[in-house]
Amino acid sequence: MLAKVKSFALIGLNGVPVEVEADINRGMTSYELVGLPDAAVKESRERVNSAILNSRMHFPVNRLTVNLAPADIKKEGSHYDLPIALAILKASEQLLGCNTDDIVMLGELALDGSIRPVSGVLPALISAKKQGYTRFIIPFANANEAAYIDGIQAYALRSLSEAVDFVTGRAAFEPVAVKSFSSALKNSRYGTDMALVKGQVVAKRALEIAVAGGHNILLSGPPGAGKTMLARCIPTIMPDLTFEEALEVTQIHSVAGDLGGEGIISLRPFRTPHHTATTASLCGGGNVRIRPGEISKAHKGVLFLDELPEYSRSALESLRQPLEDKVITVTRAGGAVTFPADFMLCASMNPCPCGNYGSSYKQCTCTPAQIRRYRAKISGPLLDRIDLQVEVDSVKYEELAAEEGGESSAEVKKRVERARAIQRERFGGPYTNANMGEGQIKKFCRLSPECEGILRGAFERLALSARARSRIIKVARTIADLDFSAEIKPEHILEATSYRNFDVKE
Amino acid sequence: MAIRGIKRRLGFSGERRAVRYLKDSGYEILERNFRCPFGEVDIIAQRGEYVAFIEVKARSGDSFGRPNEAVRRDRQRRYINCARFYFSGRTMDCVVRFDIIEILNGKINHIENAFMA
Repeated sequence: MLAKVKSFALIGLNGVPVEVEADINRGMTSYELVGLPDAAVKESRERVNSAILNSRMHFPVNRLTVNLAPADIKKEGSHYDLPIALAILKASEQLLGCNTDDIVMLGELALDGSIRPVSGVLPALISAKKQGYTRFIIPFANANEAAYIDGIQAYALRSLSEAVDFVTGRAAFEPVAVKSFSSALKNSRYGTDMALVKGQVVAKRALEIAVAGGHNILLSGPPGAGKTMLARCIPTIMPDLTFEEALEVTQIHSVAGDLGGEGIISLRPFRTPHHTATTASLCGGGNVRIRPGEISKAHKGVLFLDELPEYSRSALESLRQPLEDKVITVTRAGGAVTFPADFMLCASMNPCPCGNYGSSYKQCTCTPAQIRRYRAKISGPLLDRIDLQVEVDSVKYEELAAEEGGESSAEVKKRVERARAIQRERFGGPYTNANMGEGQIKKFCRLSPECEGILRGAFERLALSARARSRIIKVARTIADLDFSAEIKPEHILEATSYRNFDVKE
Repeated sequence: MAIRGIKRRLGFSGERRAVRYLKDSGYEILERNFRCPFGEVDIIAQRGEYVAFIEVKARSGDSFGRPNEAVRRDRQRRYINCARFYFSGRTMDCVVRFDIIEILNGKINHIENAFMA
């Protein structure tokens, strides 16, 4: 007898319906699994066999063929165990009177018949819903992932026998209850706050500008100045994730398999890949199963590269294209997959190998040649994409001992949100000043003759490079937005100019 | 020669016991010691839609491991090839199963569907 059951395959974040067909025939007893299964899917045979026997049902002694259709896309992952088991049970007429036609199932089986959690449940549910499927069986441990999608009935079950009871109607189960995103948002907190960072008024201001305008930022300063601590504060002053953004972020982490029982990610991600990170770990990779890299995991959040010059050149250069496009397309022999990668880049570095160049407290012991070599590790094109370059100097003891740390993140966040609202109105969408093209700069950043004069003066006196000009204007636009100023004023230009440490020609 | 003789006798008596056991369990014996170019099948027996190709393993003790452990992948392949050969001239309107009957210290243990093609 032939039986069919529905499941889903994931290609990147996109789901493709997969039909699991089981056919039982006369002939030599055998078990054949076809339809481009990878190793994990092939091994399902042993798990399915044991799970069925341990659920007190029969594994058919027959010629058994299981097909995963369509046969031309590679099937990877362990979530086919459950649909394969149910297809086999159905084909061997152990599930009489069941209707599985409209149910999509995902789940890995343990040998004792219990259903184990799998990765990628959320993106599968979302794509399946788009394609008109509304009923699902998912692992109990993945229940939270289904809780934020309305308009579907997802049944989170614990074992194969529960799944059998469900499809045959022997027992009734309640679908996963829908939870509201706002309550998840209310219950989540970042572990740090701007108020905890002592001193560093200039750097804090620069962070505020960077977040307000969606600019990337480079913090340079001696070791121990507080660069990392400052960077960790960035998510706390970013606007709250909207539900749509949170869903996108959660999907990426669901595919990556690092969701850890959380239903939805309501905090902006803060990713800190180590400087030994490879290009593939940053951008995403893998052969059959292409997984998102750090830049995608930092989607809608912050990618923090500590000690920027220590990263391998090729890893850093690979960031250039996603920084422009906000997506990354990973191409492998098995196919190409596009992951979103809309992150804010925050990098930190020491100004020189010894770390004290430019410090007002310690002497630098590096030669000019050493400093030049150190800085040359960061390519111009990458630096070009970092709008703000700020020096963070060591903090004085009096500042450290002070009780008061300054403004809290919540206060800064309010200003950032206002500045973002102005930008939304200006661009008619969720765009920021950092994304402006040359045409938009001309249109939205008209400079008065006075401003033009200041900029020309700075350009000549500081010997700024040509590409610095439009960067300065963009940052000045953001500063003006924070100031509720419709036009860019001289003080905005002056402040923006001060955030271009690295453009000064040597 | 003497040792070989003992082993042979153990094997034969084991097969006789297996045949008796199968008949008692409602099997019809189709062949005994079926020989073909791929090797020999101890017993071919049928019950209902199942045709079982049965390897009989008898041992007087388990100091060399359990009898069924001696049926490794090469022996399994031999049985599968023999089955193909057996059915080359007939229609296979049945389910072909591969069983092991192990006899240890006089006790019979019938493992149905011990391996698959």
